[in-house]
Amino acid sequence: MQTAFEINFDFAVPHYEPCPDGRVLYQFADLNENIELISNPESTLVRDFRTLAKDWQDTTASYALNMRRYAHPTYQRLIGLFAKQPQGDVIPLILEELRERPDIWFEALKLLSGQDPAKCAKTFDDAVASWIAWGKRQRYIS
Amino acid sequence: MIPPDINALFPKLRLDGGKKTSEATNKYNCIGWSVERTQTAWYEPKPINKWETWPSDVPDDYSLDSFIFLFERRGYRQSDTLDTSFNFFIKKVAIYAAFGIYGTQQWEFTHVSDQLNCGLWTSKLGKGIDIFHNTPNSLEGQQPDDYGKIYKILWRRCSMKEMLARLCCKVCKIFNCEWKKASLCQ
Repeated sequence: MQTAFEINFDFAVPHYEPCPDGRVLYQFADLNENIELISNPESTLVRDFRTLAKDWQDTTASYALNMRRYAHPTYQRLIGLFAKQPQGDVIPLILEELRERPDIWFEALKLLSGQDPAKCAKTFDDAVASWIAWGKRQRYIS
Repeated sequence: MIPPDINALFPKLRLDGGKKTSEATNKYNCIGWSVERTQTAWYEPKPINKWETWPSDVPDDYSLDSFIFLFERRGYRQSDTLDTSFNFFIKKVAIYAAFGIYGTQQWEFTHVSDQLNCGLWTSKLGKGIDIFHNTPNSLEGQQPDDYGKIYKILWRRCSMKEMLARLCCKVCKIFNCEWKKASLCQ
């Protein structure tokens, strides 16, 4: 089965239950804390996000101005996609994308989270690092 | 070598002797590169982040006139022609524009490149790589994501330092010195 997230099964074999909406809920019985990982084998959100994000990055890579990049129809479609989803589903996707292919996702993250951990960042790299650290603290990403 | 994605976007570039001169980075854009050769500032009329900048003496309305004014404030004058040929005493900048890219019926700024002391042109391609190219025309295009066309050539007189560098470049060209591509060229 194709999963949206890679899961390390070394420490525990999870019990999983398919949900009516097509997602699969993983539960790790061996852990003291009740941690649940939700994998979306056929997640439309993950697929759509990655397709649109790649398209936006490829198409607008040579644009001179960030404003032109934000005004691009594909970015607007991404914002529309984010608006329809719970922030807990979207923020981890953006943070993963930010970590793998750093880009100007900061405004979208600010909009979704209502926070700005990179407010004092003096460089682009600092801002990326601040958001990744924030994502880890908030347990959006590991 | 120019990467395939850049060649696909600018098909004329390969025939125009396009050469990659830096790795891709989003630390600076073509405006910062042409205005002050910075590799640390992203020029954006309405800066959001600390690494973005815009001079306070230039309107921040994103209009094409404001981008032209940015260079005029730095000693450039508008040329009546689109002559991009090399003149020993003149430094040239090419402003690119495309029509209606924001849904408005007007020309909008898309890119700027400038002529080096050796006569080649240099461009920072968005958040991508820096390139050298023989003529600014090789970045023109008709597709929606292109830079459109060269809208204006701006020029200013070279400083003594620049003229000296140009002289050195010329001598190097004659004797085919390898170090002609070094900082003198910029």
